Amino acid sequence: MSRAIAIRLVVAAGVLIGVTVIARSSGQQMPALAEDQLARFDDRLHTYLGVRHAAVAAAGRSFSGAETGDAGDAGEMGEASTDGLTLADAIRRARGPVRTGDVFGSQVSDWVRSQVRSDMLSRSAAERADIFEELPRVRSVGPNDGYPRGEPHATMPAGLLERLPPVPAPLQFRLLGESLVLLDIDADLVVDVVPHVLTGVL
Amino acid sequence: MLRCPRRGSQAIAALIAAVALLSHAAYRGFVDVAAGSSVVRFAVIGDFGTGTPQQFELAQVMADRRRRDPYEFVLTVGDNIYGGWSAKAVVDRFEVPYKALLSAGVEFFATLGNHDSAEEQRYAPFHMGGRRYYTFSRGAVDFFALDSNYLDPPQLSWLRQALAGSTAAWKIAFFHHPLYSSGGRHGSSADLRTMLQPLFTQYGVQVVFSGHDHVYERVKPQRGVSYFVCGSSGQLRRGNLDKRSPLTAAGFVLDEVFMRVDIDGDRLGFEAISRAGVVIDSGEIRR
Repeated sequence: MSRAIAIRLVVAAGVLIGVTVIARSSGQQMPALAEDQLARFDDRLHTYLGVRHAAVAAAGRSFSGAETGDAGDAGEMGEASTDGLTLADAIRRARGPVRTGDVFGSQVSDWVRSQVRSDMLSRSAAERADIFEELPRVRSVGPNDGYPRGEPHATMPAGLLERLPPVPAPLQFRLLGESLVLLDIDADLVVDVVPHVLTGVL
Repeated sequence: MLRCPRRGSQAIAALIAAVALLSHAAYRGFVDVAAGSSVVRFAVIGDFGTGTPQQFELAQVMADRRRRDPYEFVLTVGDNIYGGWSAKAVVDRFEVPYKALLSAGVEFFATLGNHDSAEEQRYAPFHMGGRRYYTFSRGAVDFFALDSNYLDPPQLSWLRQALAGSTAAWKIAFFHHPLYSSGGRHGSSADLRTMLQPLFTQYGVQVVFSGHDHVYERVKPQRGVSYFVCGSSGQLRRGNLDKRSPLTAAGFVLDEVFMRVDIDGDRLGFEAISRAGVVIDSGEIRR
């Protein structure tokens, strides 16, 4: 057996073992999130909603979704912005400095990451390619960032949503770049991020 | 089936359209409706909010067609406003193209596509009432408008409850992503099919309209449900249908298309009409 053939056989065996390990890990039942972790996550979600509510109240007027401050954005959508303040701006101001993981927490972040990776690895390459094709390309995203203006909200795979805990409106999970974000869909504001959930799986 | 796998010349398109016209000329899909009739008549458009000449031209055909075969409302299967929400975008890509219909009192019932903004839920002419998913009734028909971008467990629970509570003779669902599609760009949404199809069959949904793939396709009935992809009302992916797909009952990828539907008793008649004003597919579904 030539050296080249031997190398090829070793590489092929390595790939086979790798695929088997991935397939087994994706088929495994993922551990459930502990109830206390889920409860604390829920508390943090409601803390955000409280801050959001206060931000709107402090602004002293209603907002029409992700209002841009362009007076032309009023019309059917509601009251015009006269102070140039968007809903996202108002929430950012009220939240103050925030860090990645403030809402998810480290344990929920790890659990969400494992759920996303498990879901993606259970899909065919064609399905993963279709998901990836829709994702806005962003290098990095952090809490309090705006959703990329004009970019579509990439479809959230329904099978993945079934794995994740429901979150109250107007919050939604979305995939953005290689991250999973918790998005305030009305403000188009990134509330928190689980980074790198898709790194290496698409 | 009418398909063109590559960019065809105008002559080829005209020839195929002429053949389509002749093949459907004998079809009398729509009954004459007397005043006070219980016939439910509507149109369907999808993936339309581009502001392109093609959208405007198809919108004109819709208005012209309505003068001959009136319909009262329009279902949209998403991608209503491309490029992000703004007052200018909604004027340029919705209010101006469909001015004739809006002025005539035609109502639009919208669902959200992946290119749509959540703000559309609060745009009064879309009749969404601030909701991502909703139901409404006309005559003997209950319509179920879904948000297939984000089919989360609460929405599924709502749908199950809404379908279980419906006693309407006809149940029609409409949303953006198709459960079945032979479109080359996206194809069938396997996740959604897993979750929605059992509900549709269990509760007797007869017809489903979707878009997302920028084609017209009538899918062969699947487990008793008729599926249509009507995603080329403002943007066409010419030739973007898998010619070997076993799903396709009829397809058209040469021109932009909208659909006309009327429901009278146990019969649903449909027509797919191109930007040239040609009926490129038609038929009826019996309950």
